[in-house]
Amino acid sequence: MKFSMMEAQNETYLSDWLAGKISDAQLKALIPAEDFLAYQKIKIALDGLEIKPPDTEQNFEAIRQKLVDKTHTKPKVVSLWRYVSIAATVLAFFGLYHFFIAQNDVITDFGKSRVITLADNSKVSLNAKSTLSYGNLFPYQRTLQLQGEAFFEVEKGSPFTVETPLGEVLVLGTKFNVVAIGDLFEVKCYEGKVKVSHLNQSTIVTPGESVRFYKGTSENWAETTTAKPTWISGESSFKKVPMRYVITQFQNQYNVAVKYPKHIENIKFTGTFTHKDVNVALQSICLPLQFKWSKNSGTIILSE
Amino acid sequence: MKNENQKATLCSESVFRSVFDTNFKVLRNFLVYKFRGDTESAEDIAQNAFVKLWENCGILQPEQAKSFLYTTAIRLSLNTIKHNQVVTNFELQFQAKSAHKESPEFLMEASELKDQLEKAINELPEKQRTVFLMNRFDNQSYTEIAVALDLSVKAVEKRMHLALLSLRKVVKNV
Repeated sequence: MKFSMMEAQNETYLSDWLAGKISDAQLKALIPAEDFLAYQKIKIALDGLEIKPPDTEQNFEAIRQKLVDKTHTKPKVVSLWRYVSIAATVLAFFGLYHFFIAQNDVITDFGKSRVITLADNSKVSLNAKSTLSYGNLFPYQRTLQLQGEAFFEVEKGSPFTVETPLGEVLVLGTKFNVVAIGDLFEVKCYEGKVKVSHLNQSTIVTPGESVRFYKGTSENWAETTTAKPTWISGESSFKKVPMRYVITQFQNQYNVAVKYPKHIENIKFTGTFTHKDVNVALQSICLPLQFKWSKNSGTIILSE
Repeated sequence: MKNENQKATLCSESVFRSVFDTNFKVLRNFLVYKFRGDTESAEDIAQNAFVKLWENCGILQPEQAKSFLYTTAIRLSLNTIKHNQVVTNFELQFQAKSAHKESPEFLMEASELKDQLEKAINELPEKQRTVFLMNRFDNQSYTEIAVALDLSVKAVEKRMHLALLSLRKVVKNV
């Protein structure tokens, strides 16, 4: 019974014996004599054995040499710093690019409009199918680019410039609407004063006044002032605008193809159409000019 | 004694040298036992562990040196073993000091036993073999082994016990 206990996993009597914690006699009492003799033989045999010992001095010298070699290869650390500095430079350029050169673009799709508040608190309402871009330095140099139509409410401050492919609008703090679509460039001032330049001409526009540049001619007119352009409240208004442009605006709002006879494209249109109902809008456009319209698989066909 | 040694730092060459004298041989042997590699690469790795110890002498206390050396040496070995998967059976030698006082018959028998033990030791599980040889060949106490390998003393004792049981099986007929 004692013996079976000895075989249990947790027993350490052999290591106790090797360490001298239990005597030969005590071990003999625990295990058969034959086993004891075998263990004693192993113990004695192992005492006379070893593996080849190292040469201490030679090894210490080798360590010393390795330490010396390591200090000589220190330049590697420097070259790592070079990589780090290259990486930092690339990052810095990326940052500079992002900060100074990268542009923010706001693009609206058919029938959509958006209001953007700029860093200087100026507001821009962007009409359908238009693009507005400005750099990250906008708060320091108030210049932005427009293609399409937008209404600006500019906070007072440094000069505020709207650049379009057709000309520039320069203001100090005011509200105005800019159209730069195709070859039509039109600015209407609602508050303050704006200076509009187109090619070599420049004009000052005062509240209620509008200026239009179209095919080399310029036109000024004044009308009773509303607070904002009508398109912001969901209508497009026109005053003696070529039909071609009215139809473009109509397409921008409703995203439909419109076919029309070539000779009507320069007929001047004065009126308003809604952005909410395509049939009502078509009526508003066609009735005053006595046009007819029909729909053919998604395309609207205008005729006289 | 601790008070006297309060200023002892591993960065002093004399302290480093004494750590080397105490630990180099046993560390190198440990690597041979554990990985059954050749003594040359074991020495190379042990040297590298001492190089690392010197490089870190500023942040280590002298009493941490031992376990740092073992941990570092194991890590370095695992790196090299990946490259070089050769496992050699290490060979045992008679200690010169005990050879002269024995009779030829005894030596004959001992040589036979030596071969059997060599074979059996090579076949021991790595954990048992390492602990067993550290104790038998390098006279390290169970406590010292436990500190070096980050084990409990009880675990060391169990491994010793199991190793001896295994060796007993091969010397059955002696």
